[in-house]
Amino acid sequence: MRATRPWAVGVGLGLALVACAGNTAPAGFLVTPRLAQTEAYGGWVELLVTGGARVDGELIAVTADSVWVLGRTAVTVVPVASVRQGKLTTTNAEVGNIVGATGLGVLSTISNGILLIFTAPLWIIVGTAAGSSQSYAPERRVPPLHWAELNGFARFPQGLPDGVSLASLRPKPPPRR
Amino acid sequence: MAARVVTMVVVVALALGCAHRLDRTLVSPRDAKTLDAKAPYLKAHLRSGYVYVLADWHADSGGGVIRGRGRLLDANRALVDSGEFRFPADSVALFETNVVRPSGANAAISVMAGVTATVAAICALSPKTCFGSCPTFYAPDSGGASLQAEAFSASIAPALEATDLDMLYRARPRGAAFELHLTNEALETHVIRFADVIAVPRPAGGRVFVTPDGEFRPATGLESPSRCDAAEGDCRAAVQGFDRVERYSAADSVDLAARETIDLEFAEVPEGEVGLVVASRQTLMTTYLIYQSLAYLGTQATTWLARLETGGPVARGFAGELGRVLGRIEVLVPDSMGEWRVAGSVGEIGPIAVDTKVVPLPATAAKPYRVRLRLTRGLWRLEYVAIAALGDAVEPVRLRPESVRHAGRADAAALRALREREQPLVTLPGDEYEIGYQLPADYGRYELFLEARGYYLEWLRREWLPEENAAAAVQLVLQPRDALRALAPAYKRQEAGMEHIFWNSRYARH
Repeated sequence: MRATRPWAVGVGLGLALVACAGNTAPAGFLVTPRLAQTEAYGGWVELLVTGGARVDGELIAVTADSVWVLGRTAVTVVPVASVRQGKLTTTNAEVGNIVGATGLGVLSTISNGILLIFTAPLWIIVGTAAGSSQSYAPERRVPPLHWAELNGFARFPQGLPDGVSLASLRPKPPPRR
Repeated sequence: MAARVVTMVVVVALALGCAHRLDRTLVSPRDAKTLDAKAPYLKAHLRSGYVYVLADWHADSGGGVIRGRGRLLDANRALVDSGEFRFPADSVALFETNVVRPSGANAAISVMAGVTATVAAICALSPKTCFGSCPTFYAPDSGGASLQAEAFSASIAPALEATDLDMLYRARPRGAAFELHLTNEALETHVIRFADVIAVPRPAGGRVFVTPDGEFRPATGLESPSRCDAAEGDCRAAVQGFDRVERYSAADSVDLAARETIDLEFAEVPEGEVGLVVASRQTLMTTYLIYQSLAYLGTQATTWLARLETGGPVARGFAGELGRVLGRIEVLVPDSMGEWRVAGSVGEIGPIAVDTKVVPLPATAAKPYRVRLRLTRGLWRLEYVAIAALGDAVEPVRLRPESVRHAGRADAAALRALREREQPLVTLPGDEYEIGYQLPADYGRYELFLEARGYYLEWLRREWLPEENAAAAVQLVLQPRDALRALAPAYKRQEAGMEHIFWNSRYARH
C-alpha cells in the first residue's frame, strides 16, 4: 500500500483552510447571474438578530430602518437596529462550474507528461482557491455595508409598494423538475 | 495528440465561460436617459409592485418614453401580460439594468489552463523533453539541501543492473545523524538494491576524490588551470570553481559523435603524484537518445529489453555500443615525444547531478603541465577542473542506512530492503524517502560518497509509439555511428529548447 503523498496532504490542508461560503436558501432558489437578469425576485437574506434569533428568506424590501423578509410562509419585518449581522446572497455563485473546470484541468495534465507532478497539484490548489473566492462573490454583508446598499437585490428595490399587502406575498415557487 | 488538443480546448472554453458576476445598476426615472443601453434587459419597477422585464428595449433620446418587448409581472411575479410595451418613464418607480461579467475566479482558471496548454504544447512538440531520470538523491549542503547524486543512470533494464559511486561534493552534515532524501521524479520504476554512504577521512586542507577504478585518493594543493582553450576561446572562468557555472558546447549538426578538444595548462603543479579532478554532468543528449531508442522500439520495447536478459553478454554488449561510441571525457597528456596519450577517462551518464572523479596523471618535471580533454561535442557540461597532489589510497568506512522514513512515517520494510538486501526497494513515480545514516562522531573530517546499486524501468509513453521504427532501432544497436549521424538533424532542432525547457520546468529541484 502506498502512503499519502506530501502534496496531497498539502492540498487537503488547503481545502480545509479555504472553506467555501454557504447559505440557507432552498435548492434552486438562487439562480445564475444570467437568469437573474430576467427574474424579479429578491436575493436570499440571513439575519442574526439581537438575542440570537435567526431570520432568513427572500429580501422583499429594505430601508435605512427596516428589513422585510419573506420566509417560507410569511413576511417578517425586522428593525435594523435589532440586527447584529446580515448576509445577502444575490445569485448562485456557480462554484460547481469552477469545480468542474478544475477537475477537467487536473485531468488535462495527463498531457503534461511527468510535469503533471507539478501542474496537477497546482490545478487543485488554484482551483480550490478560485472556487472558495467565487463562493463569496455573490455575498453582501452588513456590516460593513449599510442596509440601504442592499436594496438593489430586493424584490421591490423601490421600497415596499403602498398597495401591496404583506399577507398577499407568496414565496418564489420551487423550480420545476 | 488530438485528444490533447481537444482537452485543452475544452478547458479553455470552460475557463472562459465558467463563472460570472452580476453588476446591477438602479436608475431613477428622471435619469432614464442615462440607462445603460448595452444592458440586454431592462426591469422597470412600478410603484404598484408590478415590474416590466424587457428585452430589445429602448429609451427615447430624452429618456421620457420606454419601449420594449417582454413581460409584465405582478407583485408575486406572476405573468400579467406579455408582448410589446410602451410607457412613460415617469410612470416607473425605479429602473434596473444588469450586466453579466466573467468572474475574477475565471482569471485564475484561465491562467492555469494557459499553463497546462503551454506545457502540453511543449510536450507535444518535444515529448522527450518531459522526462525524468533515475533515482535522485538530495543531501544537506551549506544552503539547505541540494540534488547531489543520481544513481545508476545507465541501468535501464535488469540485465544492466550496476553499482554507482557518486561523490557528495556539496554535502555538509550538520551532525552525526545524516539524512539523504531519495526521490523518484520520473515515469519510471526504480529498483534499488542498496544505498550506502561511504565516508573517507579527509586530509587537512584537502578533499578526497575517487578514481575511475574506485580508489579513494586524498587530494591537496588543488590548482585551477592557468589556461583553458576550447573552440569558443578561453574557458577558464567556466571551469575554475564548483560554482554551477559550466562549460558546454552545442552538438555537431552532422554527427552527434563528433569530438572536440579542450587544452588545459597548469602553471602551478603540486609536488609528488598528481591527478586531474574533473566534475561534469551530461547534457540531455544521452537521455534523448535513450528515449529515442525506446520510441523506435515502440510496442516491441519490452520484448527487446527481455532479450537483454536472455541474450547474455553478447546482447548487453550490443546495448552498450551506443554509449561507447559517444564515449566519456578522455584525459590525455603528452608523452616524451609530444604525442597525446590517454591517461584515463571520466564521465557518468546522467544530466542532473554533477559527477566528480580524479584521474591520476603521470609525473613530469615540465612546466606548465599540459592536459588535453577529448570529448563528444554537446554531450558534456564541465563544472570544475583542477590539478591536485594525490596521497595514497585510503580505506573508506561503509555506512548502511539506520532509518528510513516514507510519507513522514518510519518504513521498516524499506529499511530492511536497503540493509539486508534480500529484497530490493521498489519506488514508483512521486515516491520520496528519507534515509538516515550515522556518521562517525568527528563527521566534519569525512568526505562523503553514495554507493547505490540497482536498475530502473522506463514507462513507455503513448506519444512515443507513433515513432515505432524497427529498422531505425536496429541501426541504433548495430550501427550506432550511422544512427548518430542520422539523428543529428532531429536532435539539433530540439537541442537548445530541450535544455531551456528541462531546467526551467524545475523538474530538478536545484
